[in-house]
Formats: sequence, C-alpha cells, structure tokens
Amino acid sequence: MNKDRIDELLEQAREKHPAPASEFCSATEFKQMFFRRSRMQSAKARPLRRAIWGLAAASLLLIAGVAVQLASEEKRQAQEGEAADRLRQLVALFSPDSGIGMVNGEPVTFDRQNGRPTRMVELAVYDRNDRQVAILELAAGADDYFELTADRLKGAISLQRGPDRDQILEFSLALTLGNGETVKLRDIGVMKTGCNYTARDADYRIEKRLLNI
Amino acid sequence: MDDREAVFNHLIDEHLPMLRSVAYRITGNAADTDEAIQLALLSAWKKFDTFRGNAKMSSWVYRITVNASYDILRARERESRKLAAYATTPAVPENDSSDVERLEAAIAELPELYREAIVLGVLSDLDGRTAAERLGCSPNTLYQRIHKAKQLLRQTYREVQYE
Repeated sequence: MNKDRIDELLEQAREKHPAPASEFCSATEFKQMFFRRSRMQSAKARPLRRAIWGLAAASLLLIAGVAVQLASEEKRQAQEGEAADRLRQLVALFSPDSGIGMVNGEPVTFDRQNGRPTRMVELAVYDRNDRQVAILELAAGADDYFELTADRLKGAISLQRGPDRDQILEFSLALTLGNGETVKLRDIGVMKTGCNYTARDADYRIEKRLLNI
Repeated sequence: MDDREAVFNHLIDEHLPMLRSVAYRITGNAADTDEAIQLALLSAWKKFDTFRGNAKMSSWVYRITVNASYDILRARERESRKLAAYATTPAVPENDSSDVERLEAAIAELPELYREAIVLGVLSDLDGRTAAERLGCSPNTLYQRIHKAKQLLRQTYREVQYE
C-alpha cells in the first residue's frame, strides 16, 4: 500500500457520505433538545446538596455522604419497584399464560406464548419536544412473543434470551396517541435487565428497559 | 439566557452544520450524528468554567464529537454482531468490503490524536488552517499529525485487509 493509494482512498472517502439536510431536525430544535438536557444535567447535582443537609439534620449518627448515596439509590430502586409491583399485582389477577400490561396506566390484554411472566418490558415514548407521549409496561416471559390488538396499541413484541444474560428485544408497534395520531415504532436491540436504553424512530425517542417482576 | 447559554447558543449556530458534516461521515445516520454532537456539547457544558476562551471550547467540542461518533458507531456494530448471532435465517454473506470501507475501518482504529487529524484535516470540508483551529493546534502540527496518520494507516490498512 503506497502513499498515493492511501491519498486516493482518502479522497474517495472524503467524497462519500454527504449529510442530507432533510434527515436532520432544525438548529432551533437541536438547541431546544440540548438546553433541556443541559438543564437536566445541572439539576442532578442540586438534590444531592439538599439531601445532605436534610439527612444531617434528621440524624446525627449517619455520615452525610454515604446517606446521600443510599438515598439516591433507594429512590431509583423504589421507583422501579413501584412499577414492577403494579404490574405484578395486575398479573396476579389473571392466569399465568395471560398477556397483561398497562398503556399509560390503563390495563391492556394480549395474546402471548405460554409461560409465567418474569419480566416487565417498559417502553417510554417521547416526542421531538422531549414530552412523554406514552408509557407501555407489559409483562413477558424471558423467551416470549406477543401480539397486541388493543385499539390504541397494535403490533408485535419479541423477547429472546441471549448469552451473557442479555436479552434481545424487538418490537414493531402502531401506537395511537391521545390526540388521535398513530405513531409507528420499530426497533431491535440487545439489553440487560435493569439497564436503560434509548432507541429512536423518526421523530420519537423510546426509552427502553427490562425489569424483573 | 445566562452567559453560558448565550455562548452555547452562538457555538451551535456557528458550528452545527460543520459538526454534523464531520460526525455524519463517521456514523452514517442523522440520529447518531446529533447524539454524538449533543454528548460533546454536554461534556463542554460541564467543563465550561475550565475553558479559557471560546476557541478552546470549540476545539474540545470538535474533538469529542469525533470520538463520540466512533464510540456510537462501535456500539452499533457490537449490537449488530450480537443480533446477527440470533438471526433465524442465515444472513446472506456480504460481498468483500470495498477498499474505502477497509480504509474507514483502519481510520477507526487509529489513536485518537491521528484519527481526529484525518477526520477533520483530510475528510472534512475544512481548509487546513480552519481544521487546525478546530483541533486547537497549529497548521504545521496538524500537517505532521496527518503525515504520521497516513503512515499508520498504511500499516493498519494492511492488518484490516488480512483479518
């Protein structure tokens, strides 16, 4: 491989991949998204300071720093626990083979493969303005496939086991929002239980996670 | 709008098109491109007080954008490989990668300093002086890095070709 050939290939690479403007949001929308995220980033630091003073005042026996870390972690786990608890209670009302879940807090039923549900598939959908437009919490087995036929949610979801305790989540959904608009959402990705993942489809951002129930 | 917001507002107005052009060459799609740039800007936002002058900060943003773009690309490739292992139908074998694709893979393997020099100094539409400004170095330093990067590419390209 001589220098001239490298230069030739670099020139070809340079001419590849023009960025089509139509694929991108406007600079205004980009800035709105950035400033929202920067404010969230800054805001995460503030509750920590408030919690230190609050716990120090409430207890003389705890070291403030450890207490803050415990409080933040407990809050996160409590929020996850509440969501999983709600779904677990709903699942208990139906047979183990039933497909059950919640869309924006309202129960939905669907057909799924046999097996006791052990996972909650959570999909939170946000629009371009970073506004949550829907949240889906669906009970599933670790190897499962279900079809949804509710008026406001149609489509299919597949969950498969992977190596290293991964799970592969694939979905193809048509979600009808409160304003009557139907949004098509498709994605496939590898996930670990308890971790947060982000998918994007057209103008929508989907925050995905799997929890144990 | 406070000072920091005003600075970033101006930075985005001035540099977003070029940042998108640079990142898109690496990621190949708009969503990952904008995510890489957002991550770079958020990193600069956090370190805002440590930057002495906007020039340093814009250099930082360009460099982090390049690196974040490669991180996102690698994460996507890792995910694709995992998914391919679970395909129910065997994937149709792709034709051998083109020479340009092999070169792009070799560029992705370069050390950051030389990878940034190639991406901004050669592959982007920036002239040498502007590319050097974006990277926070002199044009002479940039040319030296490009020269070294090409030497490394000749070596790395051969390794990728025979993988």
